[in-house]
Amino acid sequence: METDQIEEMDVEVLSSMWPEDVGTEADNQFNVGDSDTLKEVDIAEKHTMADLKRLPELMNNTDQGSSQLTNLVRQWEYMQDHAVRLLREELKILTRQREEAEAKELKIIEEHNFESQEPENVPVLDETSHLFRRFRQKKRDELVDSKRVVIDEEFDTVAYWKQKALSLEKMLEESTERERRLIEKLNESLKTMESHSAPVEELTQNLKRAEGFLHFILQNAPIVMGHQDKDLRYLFIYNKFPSLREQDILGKTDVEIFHGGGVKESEDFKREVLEKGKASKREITFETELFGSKTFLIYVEPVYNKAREKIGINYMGMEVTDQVLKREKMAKLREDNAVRKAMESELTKTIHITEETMRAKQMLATMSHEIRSPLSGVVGMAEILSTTKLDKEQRQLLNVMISSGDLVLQLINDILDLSKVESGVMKLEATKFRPREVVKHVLQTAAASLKKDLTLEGNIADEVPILVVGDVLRIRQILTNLISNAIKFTHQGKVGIKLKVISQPSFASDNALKADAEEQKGLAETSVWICCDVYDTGIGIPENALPCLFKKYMQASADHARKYGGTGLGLAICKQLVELMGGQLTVTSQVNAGSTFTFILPYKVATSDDNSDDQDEFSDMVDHHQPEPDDTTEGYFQFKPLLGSIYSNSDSVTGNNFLPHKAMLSSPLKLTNGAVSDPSNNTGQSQTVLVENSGYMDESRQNCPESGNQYGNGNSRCSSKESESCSSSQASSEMESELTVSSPREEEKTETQVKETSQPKILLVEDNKINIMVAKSMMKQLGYTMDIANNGVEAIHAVKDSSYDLVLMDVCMPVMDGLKATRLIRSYEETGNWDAAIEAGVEIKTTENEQGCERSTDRLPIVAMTANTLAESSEECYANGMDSFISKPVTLQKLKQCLQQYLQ
Amino acid sequence: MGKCQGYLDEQFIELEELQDDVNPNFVEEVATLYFKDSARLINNIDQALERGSFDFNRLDSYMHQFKGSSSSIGASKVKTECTMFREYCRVGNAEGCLRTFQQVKKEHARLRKKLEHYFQLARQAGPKETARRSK
Repeated sequence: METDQIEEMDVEVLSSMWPEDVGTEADNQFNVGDSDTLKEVDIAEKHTMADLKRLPELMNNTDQGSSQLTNLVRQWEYMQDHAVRLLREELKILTRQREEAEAKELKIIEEHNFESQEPENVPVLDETSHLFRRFRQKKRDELVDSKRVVIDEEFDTVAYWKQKALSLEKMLEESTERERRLIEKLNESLKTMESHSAPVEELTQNLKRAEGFLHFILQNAPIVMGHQDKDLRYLFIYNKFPSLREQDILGKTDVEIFHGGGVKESEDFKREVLEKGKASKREITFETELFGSKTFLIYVEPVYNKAREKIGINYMGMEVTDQVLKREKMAKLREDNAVRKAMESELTKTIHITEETMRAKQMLATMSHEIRSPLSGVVGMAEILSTTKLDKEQRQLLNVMISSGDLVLQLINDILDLSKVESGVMKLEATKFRPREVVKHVLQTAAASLKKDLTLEGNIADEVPILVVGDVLRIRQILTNLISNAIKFTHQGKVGIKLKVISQPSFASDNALKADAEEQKGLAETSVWICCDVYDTGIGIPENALPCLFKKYMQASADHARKYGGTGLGLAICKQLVELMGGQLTVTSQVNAGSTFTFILPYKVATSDDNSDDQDEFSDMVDHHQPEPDDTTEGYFQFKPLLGSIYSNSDSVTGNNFLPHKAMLSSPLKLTNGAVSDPSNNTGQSQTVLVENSGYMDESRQNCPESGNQYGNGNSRCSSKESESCSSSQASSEMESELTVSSPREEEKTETQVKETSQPKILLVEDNKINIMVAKSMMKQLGYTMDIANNGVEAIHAVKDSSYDLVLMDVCMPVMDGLKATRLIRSYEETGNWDAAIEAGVEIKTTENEQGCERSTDRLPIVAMTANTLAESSEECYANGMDSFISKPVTLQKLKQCLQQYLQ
Repeated sequence: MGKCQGYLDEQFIELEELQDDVNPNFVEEVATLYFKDSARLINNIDQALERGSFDFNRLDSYMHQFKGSSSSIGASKVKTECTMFREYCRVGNAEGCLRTFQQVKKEHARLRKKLEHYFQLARQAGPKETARRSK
């Protein structure tokens, strides 16, 4: 069966390709195709139209057309041959029949001649008499076959012959009749043969059959076929869009018929094929109003006439929308997959890098620590050296040395802090504190080392709660840092802190859910956002320097770094700390007018009646502070510069200013130089400072263990002075008397430090024999003896059995570590019983309770001895109730500082 | 003053300063105790490592002691190696532990040799006046 694009046909449209409910009835009936071979197949005809006038022309002119005709002719010829053969066979049969009929006739004639001898028959017989013999013979042979004439009459009578003649005559008539019929039939056959030979009918039939098969095959295929002339006007289309009528398509181009995306492209493509003369395929997505978005795979081939001239194109389009969608989906999936894989590998890389970074940071922390130990040795020695008799030049050189050392120490401390925050080791603790106090103390501390003509002020709005919960240590650190920064860059005017309550800032709304969850957990505690401004009237910060202000190791300019010193880490630490606590640190500034650093932090409001569990923390303070009863509610503090304050030694303190309390931790000695190196200190100044300090030291010792160092330093200042007796000025005696007032034990301690009358009891909790040996020897050198406990449990027993003035506690110990032991001792102090320790598995013999009760009101100073690795952080020490820490290895100086601080 | 450059740090000087008429051999005593104790710890760690299964917690706790002692007498190189060892323990690097432990032992042995030599010299020189830090 041939297929030909030009052939006329219609096929039912695939419902998925065109919608079914459009189009007209009449239109559907364009062409009725029928086929003998496919009678049982129901073929509905639709959507085909052809320019019938042009069709024969095409058939005659194109190669395809002629080959089609040739084929049809060949087939027709074959069928004609067949018919001729059939006719010939028929003719043969007929000829034989005639011969037989003739033979029979002859025989009859012979019989007739022979038996009746009727004259009317003779002439025939005469002419054929020679046949008679043969027929007679034959008749005898084939007697059975021949029709016998049965005569009832008696043989050889007249009647008999008469009858016989009659019957013979009848037979003859029959025979004649048969002959006539045969001739008729022959003629008829000849006539049919003639009619069969008409080729048009044959062709039509074949075409119909071919068409039928095509319908059968194509009836559900999502295919559009068409032929367009060289102007790309449709001459034929199969399976057009149902709503289009013949006149809408034939004689028109794509562009004239359709509108929308892809139409132009398809026409251009067709034209391209026509011009190039090469058949090709392309996928085109149509976006038309008529049938929406459909993708067709279009095949276009040029059509030539016999003279090899292009006369148009054949095109065939198959709808592949679904396939394209699937393909695109697959491609997208593959792409997604690839992207995901890439992301995964990227992530692994990032994780790897992060791990590396963490390790690097921890290494940095370790390294920093390793550097710090020998450096504190250097600075410590230099400071000791500064207490000896030196001439002016030596002293200057030494001061430079000390301040440089301090700066490096500061830097290392900052790096340690930063890396702790960044590596996530930094833990925040929630403690109750009074914001007003914190502000006041920070300002006091700053005022104490203030050597400029500046007013320090604090302003706390009334709505700021009396008592809030937060990490007071860190908040102090931030405040101190910002204040010292402000002081550093301010030469006149004022520096201050302003606290006010604000509504929840927008950046925190993301955390609202978390906060809600916490709130539900934390029962009735409500959150409050407090905004803290640290402002100054200093040199300000140029706008272009603001973005990198909080970056590590960055200062506003290199010039500033030279002029003002500092590590460039302070603000970075502040920012990280603030963010760690869920807040935000921002800055506004105007050059030569001042800067304001603002940090916003969330706090929980602690109700003042639930501070019963922290009773001792605050009750103590209230007791000791009768002279300042409104300390908890006062909203304004001011520290005015004191008349004639002279600090000749400003350089060496620059580093201290930066993060004073941190710096002091590692090298508490350094504050001494301010007083020691400058004996000409104004009496009034040092007096006031000391008064402020002594007023503050007790509470700070209760509230904030870290600031205990401050207190210690204050004292170390005078004791070192005294022991050195380098300054017998009025100042020292003034100070002494002040201190005596604040602490009655002071006098005898300082006076009789060497020849101790009432030995303070010291407990060393340490598991390492060598450490014990060294520490013991050092204590001896300092004039003290001490008891030894080898682990936390032993320490608890020792504390229970006798009353100590100081405990030096190793952190990392077998059986029970120092942190836990301290916690249990603190618990005892709070509750007056050892229940917590017993619960923890320590065997306690409960006999002497009265001593316990008595001791429970006093807080036993516990100083940690840490290797200050990340695992034994100072934060953790404080969190577990330790008052201070000294870093290992223990040196004589550190020990001395510690004893001076806690045994006064 | 220990002239073992790099092997000891200022902590050793601290110890030397603790030495006085009452305790004329304090440094040597401490050092003897140190070597006795560290020999025990090295033995412990050796055994723990020989077992093959790395109990990093146990190794770390031995090394913590070792490091503490080393730090106390100012054995800086040993201490550095101890720190390294603990770092490897922390991250669970068995191979690093083994390698570093060899270093620990090496530095330990070297220090021992140096100190023995030093004490020998010190004894020959007799008790000497050491510069005392002012208090």
